[in-house]
Amino acid sequence: MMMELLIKNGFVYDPINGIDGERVDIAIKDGRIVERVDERRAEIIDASGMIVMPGGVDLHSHIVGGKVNSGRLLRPEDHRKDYEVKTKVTRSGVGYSIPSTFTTGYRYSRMGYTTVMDPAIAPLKARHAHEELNDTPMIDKGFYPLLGDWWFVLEFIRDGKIEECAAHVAWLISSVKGYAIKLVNPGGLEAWGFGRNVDSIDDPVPYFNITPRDIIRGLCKVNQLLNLPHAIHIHTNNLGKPGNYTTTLDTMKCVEDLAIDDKPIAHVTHCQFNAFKGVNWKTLASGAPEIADYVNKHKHVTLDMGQIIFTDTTTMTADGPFQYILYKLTGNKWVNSDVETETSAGIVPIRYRRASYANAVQWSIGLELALLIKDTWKVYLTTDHPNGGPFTEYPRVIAWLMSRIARERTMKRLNKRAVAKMTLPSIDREYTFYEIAIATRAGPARSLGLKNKGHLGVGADADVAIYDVNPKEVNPSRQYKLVRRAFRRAAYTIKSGEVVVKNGEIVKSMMGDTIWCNIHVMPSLAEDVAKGLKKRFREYWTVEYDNYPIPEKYLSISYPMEIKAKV
Amino acid sequence: MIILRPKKEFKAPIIAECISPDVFMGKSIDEVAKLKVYEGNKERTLGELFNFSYEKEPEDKIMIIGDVSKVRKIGFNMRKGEIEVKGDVGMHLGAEMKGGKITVFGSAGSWAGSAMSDGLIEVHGSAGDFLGAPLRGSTSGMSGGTIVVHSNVGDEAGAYMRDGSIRIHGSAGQFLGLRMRGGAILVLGDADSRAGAFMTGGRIVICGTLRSLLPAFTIEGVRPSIKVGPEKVSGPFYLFVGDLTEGGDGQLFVSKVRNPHLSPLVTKVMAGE
Amino acid sequence: MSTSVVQSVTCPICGSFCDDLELTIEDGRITKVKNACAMGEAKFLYAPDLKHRWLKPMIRKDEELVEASLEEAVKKAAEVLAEASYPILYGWSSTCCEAIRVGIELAEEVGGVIDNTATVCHGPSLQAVQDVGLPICTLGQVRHRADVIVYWACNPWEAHPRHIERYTYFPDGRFQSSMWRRYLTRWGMLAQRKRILRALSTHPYIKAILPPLARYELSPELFVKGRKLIVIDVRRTRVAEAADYFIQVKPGEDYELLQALRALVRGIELEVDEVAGVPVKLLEEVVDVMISCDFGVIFFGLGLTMSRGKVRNVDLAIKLTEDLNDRSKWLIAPMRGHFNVTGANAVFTWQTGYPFAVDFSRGYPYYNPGETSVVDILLRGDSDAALVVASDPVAHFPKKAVEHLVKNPLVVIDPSKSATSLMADVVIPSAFVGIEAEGTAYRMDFVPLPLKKVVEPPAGLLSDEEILRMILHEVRKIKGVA
Ligand code: SF4
Ligand SMILES: [Zn+2]
Repeated sequence: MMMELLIKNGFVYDPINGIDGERVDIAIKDGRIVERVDERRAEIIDASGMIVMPGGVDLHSHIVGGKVNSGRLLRPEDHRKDYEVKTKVTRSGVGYSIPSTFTTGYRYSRMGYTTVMDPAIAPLKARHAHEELNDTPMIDKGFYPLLGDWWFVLEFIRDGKIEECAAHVAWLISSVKGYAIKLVNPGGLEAWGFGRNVDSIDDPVPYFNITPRDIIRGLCKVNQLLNLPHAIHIHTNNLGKPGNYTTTLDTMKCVEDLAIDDKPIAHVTHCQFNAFKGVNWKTLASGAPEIADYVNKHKHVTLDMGQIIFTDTTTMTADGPFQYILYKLTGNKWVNSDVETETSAGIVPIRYRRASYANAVQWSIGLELALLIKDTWKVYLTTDHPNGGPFTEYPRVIAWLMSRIARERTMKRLNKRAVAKMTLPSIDREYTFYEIAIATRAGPARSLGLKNKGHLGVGADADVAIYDVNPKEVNPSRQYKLVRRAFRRAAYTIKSGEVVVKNGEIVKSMMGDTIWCNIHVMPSLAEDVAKGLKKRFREYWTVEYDNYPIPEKYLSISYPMEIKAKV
Repeated sequence: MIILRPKKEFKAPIIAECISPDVFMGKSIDEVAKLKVYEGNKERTLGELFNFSYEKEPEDKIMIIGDVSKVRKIGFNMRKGEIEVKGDVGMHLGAEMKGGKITVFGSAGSWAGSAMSDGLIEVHGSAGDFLGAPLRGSTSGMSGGTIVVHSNVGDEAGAYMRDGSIRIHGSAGQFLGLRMRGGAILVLGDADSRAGAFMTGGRIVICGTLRSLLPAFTIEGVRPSIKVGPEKVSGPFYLFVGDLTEGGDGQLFVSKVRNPHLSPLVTKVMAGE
Repeated sequence: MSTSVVQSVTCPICGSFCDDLELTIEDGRITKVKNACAMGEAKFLYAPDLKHRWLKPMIRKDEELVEASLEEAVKKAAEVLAEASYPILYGWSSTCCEAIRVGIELAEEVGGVIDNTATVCHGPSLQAVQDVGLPICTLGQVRHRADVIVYWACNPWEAHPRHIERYTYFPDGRFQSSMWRRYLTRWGMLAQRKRILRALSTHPYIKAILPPLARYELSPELFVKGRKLIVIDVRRTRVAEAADYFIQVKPGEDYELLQALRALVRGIELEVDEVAGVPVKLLEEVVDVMISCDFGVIFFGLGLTMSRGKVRNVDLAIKLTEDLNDRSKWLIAPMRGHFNVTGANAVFTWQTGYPFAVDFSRGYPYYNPGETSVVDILLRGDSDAALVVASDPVAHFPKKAVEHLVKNPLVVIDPSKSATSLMADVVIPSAFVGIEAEGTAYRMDFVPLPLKKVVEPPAGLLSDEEILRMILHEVRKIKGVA
């Protein structure tokens, strides 16, 4: 039996519905926000003096799948220092930078997050991702299959067959139960198959006679043909290389003409890592002002920060060549994992140090992006977990965004040469709670096209976070530590209408939905795709056609979004 | 001084990181007896497993009399005071130790002195594998302090060592000083093969026979004697440098007299120079 | 008579985990197996046979195993586990991930140590990965791109019969083609050459009527173009016969050989003429091949992980591979044995952070092979009860470990009548996963695939997963948390 809930007296921040800290009561019934409930029957949560927000939405966090699990395997020393003991309601597990599945769910929930997307799954290993999602409680979730180097995509784009390409992408996303199109160093990963890379969006991909530009534009068109809810999600070429901000600008520019209306068509992810100026690590500087300038003038792109935290963490991306460079730079242990016909991956542990010039610059770039881009709806809070730092450190980022003093305090401890060059000290802007609500829930939810998430209007999913900080009494600029503490441990997290966290502790374990896109193309086209694939499948992969798609019953709670494509 | 005597022969492993002068100091016997330990998966108190007696002096000493070879983590993270064990002791003795002294009149299990940074561990019997070495995945080995083992030790003694010293009166297993970056290891007995694998710094001295030398070491010369800490050990010793595949310049001293099997190689290389 | 054909069936035997089998089912029995190797075929045809299995749960009473009801057996198993101070839960690599997930939950609930068979095969490889990482790829990547393939201390022809044919030397790929024809030609010519040489040696006068011997030398063409196969082992196995280069290493000296290769790859001259019984000249030649290829891969087996040096052999093999990437593209992969040992490692890792040897005795996952690995636990005599799932430690563990294992209460869940099950106190027979029950398993390169149910299990037999769930439920009842 579903309970009725009434959250009373809280200061509500619900940007999608334009509610900015007003006292509004939130009524919940059967897992949804409703107009009203019967106060005598409902459970009342007294949120006086607290902030009420929609549940957090994270659109880029590496939490499941082959690569993440290899990262877990790689780092026993990361787990030993941070473990969770089994309780009556929770399973045990470990942290720190790559938490085990249960722990991932609990930790997100404790921070008031209710929806999380994993941004990089090799389609061939999608089954693995689903198995882990089935063991990741508390949150709704999904993933983006890696498609930017899939041979079918490269070949169809090369041959100018965008509709066939779209139909194949539709087949793949629906088969593996993914959510959006992900590109990582497009073309570069195919080149990495032979240990090579591409160095600009116009550098041809070996053996395929196309360029990254062709791939990006091609998949952008595919995305539009398929009517997918999210834009194409791009990790640009040259990530992690000094001077790469020009590649990022090129990437954003190259789809400019494809924009229709004001709808964003490209999401450039963990932008900090691809906003480097300078010619080498010694001359590294921030390209954030240039990128912010471009984003301020254009409507077709959105970003997320990819903020770094000064801690010991683990980098993991599908960008095999980048991870190899990082391994050579750090000398740390290195995992590489190439996937036939599709993609690659790499993992290297890293420690970001305050005393390091390069790391200090990186730290400033993430914050500069968030502060220089005027429209908060265009830039979301991430650390590219765990690449910039574990998601459990988001409250730290919130404090930096909301408080100049917090930033200054950190800067005092940073590499002096780096600080002397930063733009950041001259930026006065401080996020409001309303803007934090955009950056951590409303914005990502809108970007993902999740209509029932990221807001508290009637009909929305009853995913709510309540934080014990009084916006009328606390000045976040000065009392940022209070804010930070409040965001670390939600006073309440409500998932699908049930209280799952109280005072930062899990009180009830539950399973969220796995959200995926079921894309319908024209039946005749779909038939052709199936026929063609069946014939050529063994040529491309070492598994059988029948064993590739993942049946819906495999998902512990399936939530398909039915999508009608234009083809 | 608090004296502990096991009440029975233990079967399941006992995790007792509370057995440390840092924890005992300032506590009455009753309080000490209430400290929590694990016997397998059952939570127990020290008092359920040990009998206690008390002597006034010295104040910061713990003595254990009896077989505690199933008891792990004794002296874990210890900073001061003294532990003396009359009997065999289990794994992780003095792991991450930062000061004080542990003496064992018996043998110690694996990971004794694991990643310790200061203090002294002296084992009068033998020690297991991974003496002074960190746990799997970590590269932070022993960074200070001293370990003395009067009998033999197992494999990978001194792995990832950065500083401090290890002295082994008996023989050492394979991979002595694996990935060592600094500090000194002295073996009075023999060493099994692969000593110094991946080493990039520090010094290993083997007074007995080294079973075989790795191909990535090169002969630097012969030395009549060598200093290990304050002590001068007389040779003559072959001095090899390696591990070249790691670009390392770790020093591996091997007794000339006890290793005639190395002499053809040495002669050949020295003649070639 | 009803006949049906099931396609794309995965083979629940070795780590190659072929998924292209075609089974013919007649009247609920598998009568024909297509595409499998002999090992795979035998399993499907004969394993389900009732002769080799328990058909009823058994409980030991007065030294004898006697039939019991499922409820009774489950209850007894739960009691054994719930009461123990330090139980071990072992096996897991021959069952599906779904069962393993429940197994870990059970281990956590009873505060036991859970370990999988990696502990006695590729455990050292996993530990080496934790020290230095692992550049690896899926097998299709090898098929499409590899022009140098190294098998080190493994004999795929016997242990993974279709590995070479499906993934490495013999299949066609996008950038590389099959070496099958070359292999046959070379075999043919070698055989012919041998015959002639023999003839020459026995009948010197034939020489006069034959063309010069040089005509029968192998054409250099056969060695230059296409993929190359390098085999390194202590003995000349069948795969060594097919190789372009065979390096016979002295037993127990793989580490030295690896270090010599690594030195050569890094351009360091060796001061010795021979390492591990192999002339340095040959090593130099092989290293030349290795650094001048487009894509190389090393597959290694138990000869590396279980011989002198263990973890460190693999550690160094990985370092060698990492260094080779300065020169060309190189990857390395373990030849995993059981069809789902990789899956066991995967599930362990995502639920607990560690791939095997996980100790829950303090309510959270703790891992330290040597301390928490079951063989070591048994040798020290730490445990006081055991659950064995789909594995046969009595047949494979050291004698002293087995003695301790059977001295304490022992529960076995297994589809077949294993040596371990004969020594057990409680036996709960299960359905064969991948034949009589479905699930998920991971190929040796971490590619997950479905296990299919193609026939019904014998009446009354449940899957491992279902049995484990019942035990877990019973344990919770005993502990008062259900
Ligand atoms: S190679 Fe292995 S998986 Fe393939 S058919 Fe033979 S036994 Fe089965
Ligand atoms: Zn990312």
